[in-house]
Amino acid sequence: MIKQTIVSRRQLLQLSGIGMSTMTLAACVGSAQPRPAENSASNAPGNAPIATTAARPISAELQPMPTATAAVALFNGIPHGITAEGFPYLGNPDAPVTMIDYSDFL
Amino acid sequence: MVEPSIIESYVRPGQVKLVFRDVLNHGERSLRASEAAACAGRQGQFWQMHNLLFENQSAIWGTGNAGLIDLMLGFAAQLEGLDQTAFTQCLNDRATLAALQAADAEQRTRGITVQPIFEIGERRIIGSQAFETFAAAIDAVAN
Repeated sequence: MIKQTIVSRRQLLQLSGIGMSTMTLAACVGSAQPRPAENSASNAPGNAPIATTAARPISAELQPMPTATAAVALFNGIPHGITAEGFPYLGNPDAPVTMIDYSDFL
Repeated sequence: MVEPSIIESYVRPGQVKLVFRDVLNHGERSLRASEAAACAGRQGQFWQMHNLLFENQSAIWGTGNAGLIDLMLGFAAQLEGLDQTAFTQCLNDRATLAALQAADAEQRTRGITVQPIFEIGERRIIGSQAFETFAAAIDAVAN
């Protein structure tokens, strides 16, 4: 079995640029399931944000709650962001299979 | 290069999450290229810079260490919406260098010393392989 050792989270987060804004966004969405941190949407080409509707609880009186939305960044129509460990990813953050590409740009 | 096929066949449909991790095997060229990608990533444009860097490998190889910053700034200038001032500061300050080097050092303890290497589940694939090799590994994990 390939062992995945997590490097110092502080150091890796320096790569991702994850800041309080991202954490605040996550807190506001209020998802019950922990999810990898993601970059917020940018204005980059191919990076158009789309709105997703988060599941909301219904109160005991069955009163519908206001719907919250969160922006998902896209690259060429594919979601992208930063993993909890601080590495960039492309694709569904909850995909059943993770493929790690260890590569140099050269 | 099979990555585009993997992206279209598995990543775009949502079956695979593709994670990129830098391997720093080519000295200052590797460092500056990875720093450029990481600095662009701070503004949500990692994959845009990733593609630019791969498309311009020959230019990177053809540039000496002293010219690498200007080369990366030239790539960044092609990315619409990128805050060039923030990118330049990130690159000049080497703000992402320590994290890149720490990740690379950790990976080396696990045998990641050449590139490319792929991990799919518990399987490690070394070097460029046929699409079918990746497909089999992905399908084995998914099923």
